[in-house]
Amino acid sequence: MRLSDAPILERGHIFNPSYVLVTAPSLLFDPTVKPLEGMADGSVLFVNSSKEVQIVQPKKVHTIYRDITELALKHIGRDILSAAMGAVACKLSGLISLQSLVDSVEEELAELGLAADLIEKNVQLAKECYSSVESISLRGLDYKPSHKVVEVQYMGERGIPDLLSMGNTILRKTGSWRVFTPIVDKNLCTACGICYIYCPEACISLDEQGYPVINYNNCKGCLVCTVECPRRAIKTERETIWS
Amino acid sequence: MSEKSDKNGEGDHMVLKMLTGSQAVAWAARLARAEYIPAYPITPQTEIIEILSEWVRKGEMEAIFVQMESEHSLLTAAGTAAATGARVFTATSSQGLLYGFEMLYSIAGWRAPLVLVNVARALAAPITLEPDHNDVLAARDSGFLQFHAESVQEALDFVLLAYRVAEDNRVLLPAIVNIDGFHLSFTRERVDLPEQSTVDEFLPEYKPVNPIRASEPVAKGIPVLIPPLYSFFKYQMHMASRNALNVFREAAKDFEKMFFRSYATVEEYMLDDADTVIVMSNSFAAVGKQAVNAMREEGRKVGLLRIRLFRPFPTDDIVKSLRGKKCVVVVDQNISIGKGGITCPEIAEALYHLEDRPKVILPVIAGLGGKSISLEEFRHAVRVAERLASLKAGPDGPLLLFREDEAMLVDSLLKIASGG
Amino acid sequence: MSITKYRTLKDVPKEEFLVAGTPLCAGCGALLVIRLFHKALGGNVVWVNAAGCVTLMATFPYTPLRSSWFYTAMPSAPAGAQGIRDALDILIKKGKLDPAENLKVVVITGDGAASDIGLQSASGAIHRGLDFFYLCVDNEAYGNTGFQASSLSPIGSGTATTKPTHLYPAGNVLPKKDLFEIWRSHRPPYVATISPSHVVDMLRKVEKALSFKGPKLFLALCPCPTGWGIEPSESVQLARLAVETGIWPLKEAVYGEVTHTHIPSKRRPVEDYLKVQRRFAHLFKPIKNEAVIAEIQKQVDEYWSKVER
Ligand SMILES: Cc1ncc(C[n+]2csc(CCOP(=O)(O)OP(=O)(O)O)c2C)c(N)n1
Ligand code: SF4
Ligand code: SF4
Ligand code: SF4
Ligand SMILES: [Mg+2]
Repeated sequence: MRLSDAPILERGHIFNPSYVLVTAPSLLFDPTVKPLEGMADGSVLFVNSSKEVQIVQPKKVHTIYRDITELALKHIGRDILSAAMGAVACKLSGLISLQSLVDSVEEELAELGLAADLIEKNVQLAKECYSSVESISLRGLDYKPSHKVVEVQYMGERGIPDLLSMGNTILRKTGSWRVFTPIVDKNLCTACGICYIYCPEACISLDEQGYPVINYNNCKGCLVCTVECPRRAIKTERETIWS
Repeated sequence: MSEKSDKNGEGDHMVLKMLTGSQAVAWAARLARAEYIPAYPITPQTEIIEILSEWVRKGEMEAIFVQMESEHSLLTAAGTAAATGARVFTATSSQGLLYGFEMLYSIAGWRAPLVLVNVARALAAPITLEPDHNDVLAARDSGFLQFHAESVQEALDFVLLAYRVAEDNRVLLPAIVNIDGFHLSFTRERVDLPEQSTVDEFLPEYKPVNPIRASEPVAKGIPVLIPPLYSFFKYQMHMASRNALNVFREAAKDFEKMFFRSYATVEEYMLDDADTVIVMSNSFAAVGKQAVNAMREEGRKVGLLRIRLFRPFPTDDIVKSLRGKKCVVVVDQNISIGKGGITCPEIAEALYHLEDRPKVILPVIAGLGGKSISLEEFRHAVRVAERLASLKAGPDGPLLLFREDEAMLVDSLLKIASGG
Repeated sequence: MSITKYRTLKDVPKEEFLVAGTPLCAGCGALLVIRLFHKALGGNVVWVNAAGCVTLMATFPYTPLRSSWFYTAMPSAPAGAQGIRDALDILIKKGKLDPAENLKVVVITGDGAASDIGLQSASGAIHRGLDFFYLCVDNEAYGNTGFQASSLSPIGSGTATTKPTHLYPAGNVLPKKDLFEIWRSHRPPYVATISPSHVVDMLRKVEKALSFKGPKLFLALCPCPTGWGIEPSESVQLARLAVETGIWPLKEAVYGEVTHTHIPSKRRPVEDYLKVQRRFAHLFKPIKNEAVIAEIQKQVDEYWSKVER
């Protein structure tokens, strides 16, 4: 999002953001996303998380943590975050009034064909998010990224887009997608292995006794395992492990 | 192919034969020991694949010939086979090339070297069978190297050179060898058919990069959604293509040693003292040379520059040939509708920064859909260019070469069509 | 089926060829099918892919697979498989490649690629008797581009291009193409439908297919939480419901001879399947569209009335 009184000519990549809002803490560490890049001293980082996250911060960045997902669950019953994050952005910037926010949430969701009650829930969510943070004015943002133009060398075979490292999506911590965490109750579990079979993500392995072990780094929290377990031995908890 | 079954391999010396362009490129594929030939028929390419399928069926070529259900599929199969490690040959034309267009960019992006002969044929609509170069030039930005042949001999030699350059690991890009439909494909010319053993020496075995093997899994062709990474890979292709210029020169040197024919990226015809230079490519360049001969007899200092290697574009060689000349007449046998010829702006850009750049660069459109170009048409183009030079003026658009007799023919045919 | 190593869920092979961390949606039915299918296939596989949701499994520089993968283009993955198969064959024949390096070539596409833009390429490959597997992960629409209708979208479903309106209260009015029959009409050695809910059935079918040379074609119903409007957790349940209502018959055809591998003893009404999905919600709200529901039920009943028991 770009805000300016003058015509906005910047397009595409935002080089030095004043505010960065991150929907899931894992994105902070994703080498393909790099959300912190270009942040100047005095800029603002908002992370949707109930707890603080250890980030190596080279700059003095004002960081705020809020569990917006919790609010989304409360109002909508699902982790739909667009209105919520929009509301946070509006408030942080201090440039957009609550009324403008509500108007645009109503208008845009109506365009998408959402039912009136669902729009109202989103409005309530937006309102609560709006009031859950304070506006933060920006202090001296004088960060100038170096952006030196370099020469690209011919890399021979390495310059071919073939991938030789197999099975490396394991590095991508999709565990942060979870809203609810599946937890195996060993007292109820019979080690039948059914949850292992039906996990679409290959996130469940079986230990030597045949009991399921969940890989929480990557488990997306789809809860297929919970539903498929014949003993109802997999409980769910609101996600906390990740953050 | 064993020495014995090689009907033409009796002696140590070269074998002269009268071959059509189609036969010549089929021979080239055979001599290159192409081992995979996916195909789909289209006039005027059919003779090539008919010959190859017969050789494979007779066991004279150790290869798999597979008739696909479309050019899109044939190019896909060609590309994946090359990426898997087979030496691939295929041929298509015109509508077929365009039907498979999506895959041209893909194969090049996979960095899968193979040789595709395009038998040039003008594009529909209106549909026709006669050649021009809108088909092959549509592929110019894809990453395929492009060799444009003037003669049947060149058609054969370029296929061999194309494999050598394409498979070089400084390049690793696929190549198109263009031969004009009818004028080369179905025209018999005297051809020096190389020896298998010499070709084997010239063309080392293809060593694929990251081929698909059980022991070393690889993911190929996958999305690159990160803009700098995409930009990086694309530019790597460009640099690989630029490398092909010197790799070609090296290969051409070896080729000359082994086969006694020498090829530069461009051919200069009577250029030394020429004031006006006609620039052409492909088979009609022969007609251009004939016109140059005639004009020379009339005392005009005219020469011709023929582009053999169109991608990578041999900017340096073109500059060497054209700097200091008075007029350049670029005869484009293609048309970018709403602009003009495709080659002319490329030539102009190559010359722009020179102090001694030509006074006039005249864009000419000629020979669309196989339309003949007569001596008088060439003469006219040269005259126009020279007049502009004397007036210190530039052209105000491309010059279409079209004769009065043709206009009359068109008129009479339009009358029939309208019933008038 | 005669001799099989798959009797119960305990027999599901433990080796994983697919690791976690893909960008596919939570609860994606297609991902589950690929994972289980791969277990039955075993190793030494190259997947040949056409554009679709599963294309995003491998995006530079990541892949979840321990096997090879080749993304080709949307219309021509089967042709890509042809090139790989033929290249391996000729290299092995010429002694340039150790036969131990050989691979099973498996095409993986969505329903849109399989039934629309890539049907020609598939038909060609099957007709040529190409020795390959084809796994179509059928989520009944163009998922990757935002769930527009494909020719495998079922009648009555709402998609991004067949939204129910007062002029089109049924949503999609076109019938689902019978891809199983289209494939079968080529008389390949093996064609089967599979479901992620019926795992032993799936594994046995792959096991059987492995014994044939030539085209081995699988059509898998793959619940898509995002497009179908279900909870991710309900994914397998929905697949099971599709089988139990008779909407998704589990069958196979060996050289064209059809056998049903699972005949639901008492079929549940199709309504049970439809009413839990947002893409069919317009058939129930604001007023129930009895006619369309009855038509869907009728088609299912007619289908099963022709199945010999
Ligand atoms: C030639 C071409 N046309 C269109 C597209 C755009 N496209 C990419 S993925 C996709 C949808 C694929 O649908 P389907 O095959 O059903 O797979 P799904 O995404 O549902 O798994 C489309 C239409 C393309 N990639 N190539
Ligand atoms: S399905 Fe349930 S009972 Fe079976 S192993 Fe998993 S948690 Fe245990
Ligand atoms: S919640 Fe989903 S991803 Fe996580 S373990 Fe269960 S089935 Fe696997
Ligand atoms: S849209 Fe559907 S098919 Fe595609 S990844 Fe998501 S769940 Fe899977
Ligand atoms: Mg689909």
